[in-house]
Amino acid sequence: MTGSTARTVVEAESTTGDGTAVVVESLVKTFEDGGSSSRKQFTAVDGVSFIVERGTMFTLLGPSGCGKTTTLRCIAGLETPDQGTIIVDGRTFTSTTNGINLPVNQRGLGMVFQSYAIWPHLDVYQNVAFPIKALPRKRRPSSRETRARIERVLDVVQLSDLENRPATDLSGGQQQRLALARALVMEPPLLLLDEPLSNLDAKLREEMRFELKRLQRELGITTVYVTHDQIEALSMSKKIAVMNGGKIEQIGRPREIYDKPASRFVAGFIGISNLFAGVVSTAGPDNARVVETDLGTLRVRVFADMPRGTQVLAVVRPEQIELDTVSDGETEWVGSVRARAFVGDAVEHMVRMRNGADVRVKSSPTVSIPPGTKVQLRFAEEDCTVVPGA
Amino acid sequence: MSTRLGETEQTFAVVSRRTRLRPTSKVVVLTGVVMIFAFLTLVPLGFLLWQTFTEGGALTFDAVARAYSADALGGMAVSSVTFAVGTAVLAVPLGTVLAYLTMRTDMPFKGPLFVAALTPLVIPGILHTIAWIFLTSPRIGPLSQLLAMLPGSPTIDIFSIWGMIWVEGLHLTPLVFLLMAAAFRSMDPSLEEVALASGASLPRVFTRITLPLVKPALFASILITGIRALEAFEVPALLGIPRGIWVFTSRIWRALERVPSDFGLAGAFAISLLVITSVLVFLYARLGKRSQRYQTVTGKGFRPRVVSLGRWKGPAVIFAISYVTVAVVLPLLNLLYISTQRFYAQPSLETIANATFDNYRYTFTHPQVLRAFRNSMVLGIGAATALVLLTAVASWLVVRSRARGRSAVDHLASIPLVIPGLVVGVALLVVYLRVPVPIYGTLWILFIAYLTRYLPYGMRYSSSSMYQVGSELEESAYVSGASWWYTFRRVHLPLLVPGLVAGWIYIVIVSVRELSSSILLYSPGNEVLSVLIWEQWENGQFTELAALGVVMVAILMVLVAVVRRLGARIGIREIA
Repeated sequence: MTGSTARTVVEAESTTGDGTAVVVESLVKTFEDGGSSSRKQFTAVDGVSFIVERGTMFTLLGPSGCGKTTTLRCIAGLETPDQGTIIVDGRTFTSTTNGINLPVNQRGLGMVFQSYAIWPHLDVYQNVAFPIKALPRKRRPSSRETRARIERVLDVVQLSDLENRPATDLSGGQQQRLALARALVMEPPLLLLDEPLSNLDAKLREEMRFELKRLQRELGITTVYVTHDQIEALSMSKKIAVMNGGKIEQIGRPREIYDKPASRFVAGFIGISNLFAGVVSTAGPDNARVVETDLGTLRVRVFADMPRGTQVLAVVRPEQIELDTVSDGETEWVGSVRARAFVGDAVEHMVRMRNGADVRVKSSPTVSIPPGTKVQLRFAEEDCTVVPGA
Repeated sequence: MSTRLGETEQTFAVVSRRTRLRPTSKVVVLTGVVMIFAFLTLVPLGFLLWQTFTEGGALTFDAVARAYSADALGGMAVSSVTFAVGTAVLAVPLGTVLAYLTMRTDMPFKGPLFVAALTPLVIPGILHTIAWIFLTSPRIGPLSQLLAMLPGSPTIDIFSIWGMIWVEGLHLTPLVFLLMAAAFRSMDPSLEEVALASGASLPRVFTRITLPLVKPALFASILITGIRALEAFEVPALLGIPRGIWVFTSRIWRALERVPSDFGLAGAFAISLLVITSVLVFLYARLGKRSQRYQTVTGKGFRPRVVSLGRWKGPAVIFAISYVTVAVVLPLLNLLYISTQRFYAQPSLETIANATFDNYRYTFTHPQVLRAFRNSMVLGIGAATALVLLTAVASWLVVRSRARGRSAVDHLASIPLVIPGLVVGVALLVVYLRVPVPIYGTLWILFIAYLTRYLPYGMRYSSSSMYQVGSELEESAYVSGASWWYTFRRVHLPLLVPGLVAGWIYIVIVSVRELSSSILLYSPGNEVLSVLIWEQWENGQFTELAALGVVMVAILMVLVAVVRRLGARIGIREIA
């Protein structure tokens, strides 16, 4: 599995600490867009850099077309980047400055595709055996060793009793686990998962989410996970990179991403957010700021350089807001309930504010305010995140 | 976001870096296939041009001048066009109505009609033509006898431009039927239902709604029948030449039959024909690009609800039965009858009572016949196998790779579509009479001719199968560490098998039927079945010919049944 030919200078240069398994640096990938007539370039990945700690799950999260899958395919070697460096486990896969790009079949990674890509003409056992059979004869393990390895990995994904089933007879969840077994059988240094849960129905998806996380933890395998589903990302990852338009908007632990979105895009993409446009009116010490909005004044702390006069957006999650019925005297943060809906574990209210904006509020099921009622929004100012506006 | 594989360029780049000048199996295999394609298509065309336009190394238009100063050139052009247009005028409406009845209406006996309408596809053109000569021959032809009983006792003269159109038209009707049936099958039936619900009559719905919806297929049918009629050799040779009705193909034939052969003249006619068919095929390709290209290969979609024929049911059934009787049953039955006779005689109780299997005994024992059988089978199977494997590799290049110039490979493979069989024959003759490769006079020259002619068919079967194999199946093999060649053998080939087998049998069928290149390229001892029928016709061995024809049709029918089975399976079972 060690393509010694590819070990180069770059490896020495990038003294990846023992904790770092994957380094992606300044990755750029463009495609020719459209037909042969219009030679338009489309930049799918635009200067993406990140590192992945050994044994952790790193998630690339973003809407379709944000470049997350292309990034993953560059790591796999299925796409050739125009620029950038990719180092996995100290091996340089790609380094455009050194003219290195290791072919996909010499990278020795495991990958699960969105469609699973189970070979329909092979049975379960043969599917898992494929990566071993594809080895050059010299490096192929003995047939006993091969069998033991396959049985071990089938056991890990709980498919042992289906060994001789044609792969096409498996259910969606079983195919998923088979794809995982095939990706793991060579004990790769890095596992790549491309939206592996998106073809499953909702209930199975939830089950597999926990299953995947358990496996990843138990095997301690470094994993790069691509998804557009924020719940998958938040629940499974050690770190998340939120991507948009080929760029990474924010990298952080799930909590950071959720609680402290760094940009309007992240705030809007992760969960449901209410955004209030405003201007920094006073810049105090310790990042304390006063923000004036149409609806009221906020005293908040910020995490970026925001001098007086900066256009900002205040982000408040629906579940962080409480509603109070109010008298006519109040002027800050008031509106009237436009609609309410009982959604099982909560009641959602839509409040039309003075300035015409709608605010979503998620309250406990005991709170239910009829439409037309005047209300005031209450929220702790530390729950409010300020991101650069417009 | 692209899902295709971008590792073609990358492999080249890395290879050249790591192991200088040691090409990978991928490069070797792909380059080899492309070179074979070029050899099959470009070499004959190049030689044809060279032969026609040079004389002793100098550019000359002498041959063209001779071709176009030949007397009756105007007559030839007129009869060629009349023949092509007439054939389309007969075959397109006939095939369209038949397809509509079987695919979209509640007419009874649709299943048998479907099979009967396709049956003529397996009848070699030479046999079809001869069957019609038998049917309509004065005094002893069953059809002439039937007509003689009618008031005024009308007669048919099959040896005329009208006879030629009739026979060629009937021969091409199944092709139109197939094209139109596919179009009707993939049509949204609710559009017709809305029109019917608004009170339109059935014929009005058919002409105003149904036909406009299948317009692309209709135009395609017209172009294809026109092209096929222009390329047809059997009908003009057997029915036209005796009365001096000349078309392009019979002119080419004549130029080569005379001693000494005039290759320049044949080439000039061949190139003229090539230009005409190229224009038509170009129009056809443009048409195909505008309508959806692969709309019928997925096998998905709705099962169209049928249209109730109502009071048109009776006429429809009568129409279908008459068509099947005249176009399919009568010629085959007559052939079967003749095959049981000692000599060609008017059918009567007496002759039927004296039926004999002598002709079949002859067919199955005569060394010349057996040799022709063997030659046809060896050539058909050899060409089909070679083409299927070559085009499987090429279809990866065209469909899956991002290599520069991949579409050029596709174009290269479609060149033979515009080359009539007779022109392929002329071109190969020119090549191998000039080039000192001892191929002329062997089966190899026929093998090359079949490879060239049926390259586009192989390519079509292979690439439509390749489109059905999801690219992630291939990518996951590479990620698993497999090389391109290993992946191709272990992932692509097994998954392509159903489509390749269907293509393989199809190519075997068309190869066994092939006459127009074989007739120019065979040498005594290397006859194939269709050439043998031609020879038996010239020798007046009518009864033996009929027996051989019956056997041939039977074998081809079995093959077609297998193809249809497989075709149905591929349609249903989609691969990832």
